[in-house]
Amino acid sequence: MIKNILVVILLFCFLYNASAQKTDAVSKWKFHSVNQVGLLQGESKSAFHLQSVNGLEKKNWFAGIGVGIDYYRYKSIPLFAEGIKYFGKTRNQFFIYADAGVNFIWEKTNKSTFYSEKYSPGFYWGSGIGYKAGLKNGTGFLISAAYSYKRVNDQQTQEEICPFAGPCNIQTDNYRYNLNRLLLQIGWMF
Amino acid sequence: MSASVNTVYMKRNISAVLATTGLLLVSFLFSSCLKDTCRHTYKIMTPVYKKLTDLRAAVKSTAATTIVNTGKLYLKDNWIFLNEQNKGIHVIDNSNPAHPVKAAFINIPGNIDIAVTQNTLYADLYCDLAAIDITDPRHITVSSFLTNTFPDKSSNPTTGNPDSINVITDWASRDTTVSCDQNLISCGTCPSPVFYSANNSPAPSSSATSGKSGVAGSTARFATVGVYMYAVTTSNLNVIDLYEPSNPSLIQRKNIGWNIETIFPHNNKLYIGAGSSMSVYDLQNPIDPQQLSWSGHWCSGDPVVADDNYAYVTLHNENICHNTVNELEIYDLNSPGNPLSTYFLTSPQGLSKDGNLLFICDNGLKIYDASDVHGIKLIKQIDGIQTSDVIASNGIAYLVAKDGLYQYDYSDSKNIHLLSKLSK
Repeated sequence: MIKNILVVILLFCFLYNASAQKTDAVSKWKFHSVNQVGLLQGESKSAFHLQSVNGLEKKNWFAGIGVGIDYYRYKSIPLFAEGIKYFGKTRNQFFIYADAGVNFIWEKTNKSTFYSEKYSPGFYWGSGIGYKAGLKNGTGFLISAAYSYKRVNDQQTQEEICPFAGPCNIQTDNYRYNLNRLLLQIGWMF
Repeated sequence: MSASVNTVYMKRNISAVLATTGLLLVSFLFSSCLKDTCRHTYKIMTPVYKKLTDLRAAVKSTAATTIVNTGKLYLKDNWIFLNEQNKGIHVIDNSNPAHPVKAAFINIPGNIDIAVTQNTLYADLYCDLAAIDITDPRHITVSSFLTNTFPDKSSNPTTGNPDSINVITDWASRDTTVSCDQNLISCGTCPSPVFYSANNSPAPSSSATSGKSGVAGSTARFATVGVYMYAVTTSNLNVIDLYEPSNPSLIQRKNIGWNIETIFPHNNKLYIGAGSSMSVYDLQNPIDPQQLSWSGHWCSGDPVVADDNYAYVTLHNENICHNTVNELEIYDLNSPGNPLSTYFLTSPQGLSKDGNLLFICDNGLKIYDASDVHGIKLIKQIDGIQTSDVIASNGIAYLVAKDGLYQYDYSDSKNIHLLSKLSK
């Protein structure tokens, strides 16, 4: 997990650096960091959400890499690619966006002599609409609503009754949770 | 002019934000339309049956073969009988303990336990007890079968006709997926699948001692005393008459509790280890053993051995109980209600006692000076072996490990050393 986060941070650094160079050379690509906090509302509960998407913008199109913290039912870290399409030419714009990636579970792995529980990454995606209230220098406030999906894969392994010299039987149960939520976010971009 | 434009711009901006916020809040009201779902995938195990007649026909001597899954151990004279779990018995010529030789293999489907009296070896074959003549252990002959000695493994426990009996020899698995939406948050509580485990059938086992018999380990489930054999199953004690060794007969089947695991005979008594107790049965009337005492303990696996004054029980957490108890308990046989002393161990399994030395399989082998039961002293520890049972007899410790059979010379307790290793 830490390795993945480091890769993302390095990627941001690379993008930022590339953006600075491009700005000088082409002056069309602009680096932006879109940082939002939000509320996830699903079937039976609400949960906190936080994400940061960093990427490049050109001609009302934005593409970036995002990482977040998702507390809905199972605490997890989504790592995803995101695309945004802005509408209009003013500083204040409606936009639509979509993202897709992988969801890494941040739950502790349970393990004992007879029982172990292991989570594996699952698919993550979302899509929504929003409004950007632009300020000077390309900064602005954002508000958005989206549908968000995350999958959690949970494998539970349990050893059955095991006689002294008999072979122990292993029972494996795989649970696949499909979690559908609405995501209301506010944020700031620069 | 400029101020007017700015005012219009701000109003438009505020309107857009309010409209968007309203839209978002309204959309949030519909969040209840979203449902979380859960799919639970597991294996359904279905039994594979074979006719008992066909399985009996498979009992024969074959050439020595590779040791794959070591099971229980039995010593008789210069021979070692090492169970290959559910397959049969490795016959090992131990005339020279420094160089044991695999002499033959006795193919016995479903076998786990062994006992020997005189020249007859008794072995479980699923629901049967097979009596096998081992006058020449390399070339055995089957003397008889005692049908349905272990009825829990039989499809037809009331018949004596092997053609009418099927036994489960294997399990076929198939993946099944169901919804577990009702208990989404903690799906550990999902409705349990129909699950048949090969191990749900009571497991059979191996024996111990006396007179013309050999020596078994502490995890044995067969014990021979005089002309009787005692075989425990999950809840019963079977008393088998061996007066005519080649033709054993079942005298009685006595219910003695639940989760029975091991049996150890000593001084005309039977020490029976169960999942949560150790009990002693008196053999004054050998055909009807009577319970002398019962000592409860933490639910755990518990092989037991005894000497004239004390019973030694190892409790380990590797069974159904799922707790964290790993210890040695020593009981005073004059007052067996509660343990006299307790020692914490790592994951103890089989054990053996010879003189003042106590041998315990505990992530390897630990050898203690147990001359004072209130303060046993570790005198030797052998690590790096995954051990399951040990028999200490006449200066040699026979150690069953996952990777084979080890023999250690302990005739000099200050110089315990490896004599040989018979590996795969």
